Order: sequence, then structure tokens, then C-alpha cells
Amino acid sequence: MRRRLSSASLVERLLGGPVLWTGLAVLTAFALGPFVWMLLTSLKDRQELYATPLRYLPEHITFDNYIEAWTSPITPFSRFFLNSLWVCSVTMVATTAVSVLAGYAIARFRFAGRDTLLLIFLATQMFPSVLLIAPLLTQWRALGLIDTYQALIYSNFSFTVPFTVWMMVGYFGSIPRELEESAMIDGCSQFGSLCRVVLPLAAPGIAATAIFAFVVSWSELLFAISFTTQTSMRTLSAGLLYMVGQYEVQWGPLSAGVIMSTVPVAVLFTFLQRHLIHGLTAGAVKG
Amino acid sequence: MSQPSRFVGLANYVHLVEDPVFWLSLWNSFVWVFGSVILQFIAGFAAALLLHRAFVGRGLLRTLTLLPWIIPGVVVGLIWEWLYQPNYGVINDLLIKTGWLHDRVAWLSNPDLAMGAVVFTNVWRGIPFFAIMLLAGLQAVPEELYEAARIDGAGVWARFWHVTLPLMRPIIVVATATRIIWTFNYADLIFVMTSGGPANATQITSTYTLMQAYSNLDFGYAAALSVVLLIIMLAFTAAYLRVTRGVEEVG
Repeated sequence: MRRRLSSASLVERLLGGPVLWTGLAVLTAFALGPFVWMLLTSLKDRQELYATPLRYLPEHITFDNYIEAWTSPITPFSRFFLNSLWVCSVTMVATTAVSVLAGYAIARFRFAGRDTLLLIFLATQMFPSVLLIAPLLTQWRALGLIDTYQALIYSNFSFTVPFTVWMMVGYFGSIPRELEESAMIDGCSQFGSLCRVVLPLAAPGIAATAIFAFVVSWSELLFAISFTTQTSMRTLSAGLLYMVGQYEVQWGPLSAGVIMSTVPVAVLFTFLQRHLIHGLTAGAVKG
Repeated sequence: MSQPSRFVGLANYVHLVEDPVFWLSLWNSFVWVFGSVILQFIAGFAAALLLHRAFVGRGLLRTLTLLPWIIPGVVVGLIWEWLYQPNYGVINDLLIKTGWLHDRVAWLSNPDLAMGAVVFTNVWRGIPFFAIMLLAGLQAVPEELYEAARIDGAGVWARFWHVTLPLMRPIIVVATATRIIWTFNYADLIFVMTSGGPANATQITSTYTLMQAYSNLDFGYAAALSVVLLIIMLAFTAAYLRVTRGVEEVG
């Protein structure tokens, strides 16, 4: 008995000490190694970049790749970046506004077709986005929206909203109804109680919705390459792909572009990750 | 560019049945989905168990390890294309320096290696997803249950097998099902890295659909392929939920 106990505590001590730290080191290196390599690449000049044997650390740190990517007239990364920023910001605001209101209505009111509506929202999550390209393309062409921000915003919006409505329904469902009822007894209207009582409590869920919409549209590729034809209308993802397509791959400016595309989502995510993770996993854990 | 379309009946579906690339793409999808999801699940579970323990700097580390999951698929594809690059890629260099390889390998243009290479990239990208989902599940397991099991003499392994796993079954089912569907439909990564090549070695059904729509502008055939994708996913989801619920009843 004593031997079993001591061997068990030895295993536990190993798991809490060396195994934990080795595991964490491996995990961190694996997750971040590729980014570090990209960052190092972006700081090298052309000669060092294509040196044989490979040089790991840049000897002369240079920001030329960033300047070149940002100002190049043929592949204007700054333009791609601003396009993405605009499309994603508008999509984020629109998605958040609509899914908060729709989520609240679905969570609080009983109306005909409520469950069917929710089910349809869930079903759309299964559709490959490839499936939507042909019909949407025909539609945007007929409306003359090819090469406009609207086409991208509407498409992204239609893609994010079903999921975020589900997220918000779950979130509002977890806020006790009694809080609003007592606000209404005190003389608040339904809308007033939504604004003054429910929204502040749902703030983490709303943050999760917003960041989700932003990150999804920031990554979006298929709509962007299908609904835009002019270089000046490309978003980041489509623009990076376009940079690859031009001549031979210029890994210097391209790696700078990769780093610059990563920074905004990384920053946003660092600030809001706690809310996002809670919002994304809340439904699943309860289930 | 836009020809007038006309009604063709089931011609697109007949074409599909006779198209050997379609059948190859189905098999490739199977390898791609299960290869990716199984490895992501195992590594993600390990990561969740690590991140569940208390240590200094845990919050920061959690955020950092999530990075691969939130960056655009194009960015992931480009990063790994550069890592796999035969002459200037760091993977070949490291493997040669440590003696695992003798010669430089063209990871993405060798038909035997390309699928493994894109799956590995997808695993890198997907581990954080499982890590967060399973971490949320781990945090929902009441500490008292571990205490009780410990008092009953259960070791580390027994506690994991009899307490952690059964309690986490619902979240495991949800996370794996979501991930399988998503991976099956996901085309960006392969589209960027190999465009389904070399010689269709990495052509999965969703990239094949995309290529039909995007490169060949054959929207009719692309739509037929999408419908088949959708049917497979619906059938899979129904079967998966039935099987996993069955497991729950037995357990």
C-alpha cells in the first residue's frame, strides 16, 4: 500500500514538474516557431534571405521589406490593408447590432416559426461557402455590386450572422428574466430594460460576437477573390494571394505582409480573448 | 465571360459519377479530415491538460498559443509554404542538421508527401481550437470528484479515464463534430498551398469544387459538387450524433 502511494505521488510530482514544463515548452515552440521564422525572414535583406547555408538570424536588421510591401505600386499592400479594415469594421458593427437585437428577441419572445428560424440558422452553418459563390456572384452582378465594398460586406454579414445570433441567444438565455421584469415594474419599457439592464450584463457576449465577426471577415478569402476583379479592391487575404501570383514569389515583402496581417487580429484577440473564449464555449459546455 | 445558361437536367451529376477526379477527391477528403481531426484532437487535449494546470504566466501563454487559430488561412498557407520551401525552408535545414534527412525534400511538390505536409499544417492551425474547447470542458469538471476519486485510491491515469473523460463526453462530441464538418468544407489552405496538386494528390472535394468555380468557371458542375458535399455532411452529422448518443446511453 505504501509503495503504491509513493509511486503514485512520484508520477504526480513528475506530471506537475518536468513533464508540465517540457510540455509547455514544446507547445509554445510549436505554436510560435513559424511566426518567429516569418518575423526573422521579414527583417533580412535579399542576400541574407537566399543565403546558402541558411542564416537563421539577420545580421543587418532591415525594414526595407515592410516599406516595399506597404508602398509597392503593383501590389499595394497598404490599399489591401485599408480595404480589409473597412470591410471588417462595417461587418463587425452590422453583425453585432443585428445579432444583439435578433438574439434578444428570440431568447425572450415566443412567436410562430421561432424554432424553425433557429434551426435554419444552424443549418446554414453546414453549407460550404463554395456553394454560395455562384448564386451570390450572379446576384451581385445583376445589382452592379462587383468590385464594391458592399458586395463583400453583405456576403460576410450573411455568413457571420447565423452563428452570432446563436451565440447571443445562448447568452441572453443565461441572464435571469427577473432582472428585466423588476426593471419594467419600476417603469422601464421593454426596450429601456434591454438597454439599461440586459446589455450591460451581456457585454462579454457582445464583445465575443464583435471579435468573432471581425476575425471571420479578416480571414475570408473565397468571397474576396470571387467578387472583386480590380487590384485596388482586394482585401488582405486576396491581396496576399495576388502577391504570390505576380512574377516569382518575393518572400521578403511577402513575409512582411504576413506579419502585418497577423498583428491586428493578434492585438484585438489579446484584449478580448477571455470574452471570446467564454462566448464560444458557453453553449458547448452546458450541452 | 458569362454564357447564357440552359437547363441540362442531371447532366452535371452524370458527369460527377463518371469523373475519376471526383472519386479521388472523396478519398483525399477522408484522409484530410480524419488525419487532421484525430491529430488535432490528441494534441489539443494534451495542450488543454497542460494549460489547465496553474503556473506563472498562464494567461499570456494561453493567448500566444491560440495565435495559429485566429490568423487568416492564406497567412497560414504562406507561412508553411515558406517553411517547407526546398532550398531556403527551415524544415529541411533543421531535419538535415539533426540527421533525420540526407537530402533536401520538396514537401509540397512530391505526390507522396504533399498530403502529409498540408495535413500537418492544418493540425498546427487546429490544435488551439481543441485546446480552448477542451479546456472549457476541463474547467467544468468539479474538483470534488477528483478528490473523491483520489480518496478511493485512483491514480492519475484512473482519474483521467474514469472521471475526466466521461464528464467531458458532451463537449468532445460537439467539438469533434463541428471540426469534422468545418475541415471537410475548408478549402483555403490547400487552395493556397498546392491548389490540389501535384497531380491531384491533395485535391479534396471542397478544393475541387472551388477550382471548378474559380478556375474553370463551371458553376453548374461546382454547384453539383457542392450539393454532394452538403448531402455527405448531413448524412455524417445524423450518423455521428446517433452513434455518440448511443455510446452515452450504454455508458
